[in-house]
Amino acid sequence: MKVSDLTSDAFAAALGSGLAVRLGPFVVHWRVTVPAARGPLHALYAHHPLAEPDEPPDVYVDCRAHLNPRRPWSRRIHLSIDGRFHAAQARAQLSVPALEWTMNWSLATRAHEYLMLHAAVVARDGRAVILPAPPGSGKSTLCGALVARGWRLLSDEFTLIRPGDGLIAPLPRPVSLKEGAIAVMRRFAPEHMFAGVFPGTVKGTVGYVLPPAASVAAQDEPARPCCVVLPRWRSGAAVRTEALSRTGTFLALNRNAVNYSILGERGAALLAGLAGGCPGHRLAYDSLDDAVDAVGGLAA
Amino acid sequence: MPTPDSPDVWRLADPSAFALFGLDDDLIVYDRRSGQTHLFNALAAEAFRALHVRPLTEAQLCALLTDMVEPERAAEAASALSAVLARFAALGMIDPADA
Repeated sequence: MKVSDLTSDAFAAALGSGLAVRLGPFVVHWRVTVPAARGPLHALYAHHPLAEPDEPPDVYVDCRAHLNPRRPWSRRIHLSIDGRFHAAQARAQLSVPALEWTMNWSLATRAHEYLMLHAAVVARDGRAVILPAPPGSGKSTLCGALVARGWRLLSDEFTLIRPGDGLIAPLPRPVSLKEGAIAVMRRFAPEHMFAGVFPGTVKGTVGYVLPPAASVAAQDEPARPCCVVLPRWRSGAAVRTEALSRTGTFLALNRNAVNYSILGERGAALLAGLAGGCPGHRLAYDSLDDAVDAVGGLAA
Repeated sequence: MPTPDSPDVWRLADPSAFALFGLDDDLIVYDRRSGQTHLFNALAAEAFRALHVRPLTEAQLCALLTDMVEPERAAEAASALSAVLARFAALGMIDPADA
């Protein structure tokens, strides 16, 4: 059963009492009583399956109105992870971005059975392209553009490398775009569905693109990494690729490895194997069409 | 260059402490004791690999590494080797063999 199989009323009721959803290899249990979050969550996770009753949640995320008897008009919300206070958000209207960031934080701090890279990852024909990059480099925009052109979304935020076989475990969730990237994506792929745009967050305006149904349906199918691309959007730049040495690729991956120090030697071995087996490239671009073509060429 | 106060023979402090991963000519060394990862260039990689096989004097290492460089850059390589060994020692990766 998928989230979209529930009517909006049934979803709201289930969310209020507790609803477990499978996000890639994880089961996240939401308990959300903030009305403003229900509609966007119903839309953004429409394709995701509900967890089976016998699947224990990996994380409990609770989002509720913060009741202050002295300020009954307050719209603050209260977020907790596994029953412990995590964050407060000043505006209930921003509860969805706050929930998304809370889930990112909770996964980044506990999914240590994987080598976790701060990187988008997409795949075509079972071959995955890893896009590690710092915030502001256009990683998610390029990821969204590739997905709009038929690439499979594995994740726009975390690349999860399985230590046993080096394959990537998909974690398809809404693609998060900020500020000007939202308009860029609307022009590039008008059919892309923004299931929520939230002005006034600490990161400015944030918009979330619905992950494709096919990507979510394939969330149990790992993909083999084939190359690493470091994207960098530069206004007016002609598209240009530059091959990295294996050492350069290792260093780029290392800079974006969220839990490298926790995994220790296993992390070093995985990164060295990844850098040794997957050619790395820098990609500077302005035009998304050119960048999509360039990534296709590098992955071929 | 080897100096009079250099120890005669260098050896790895604890050969079982290091995991080595070669990438092109470079070497990634993971130190299990500290949890630190080190990246060695070609010269340092060759020196570390040689010491991983057996203890060596700086002069022996220098002779091994001479093959890697143009003859006119041998002095430069010897000087770099001294710096590399000092760095290895500072990181606790090598010890004088008679220590």
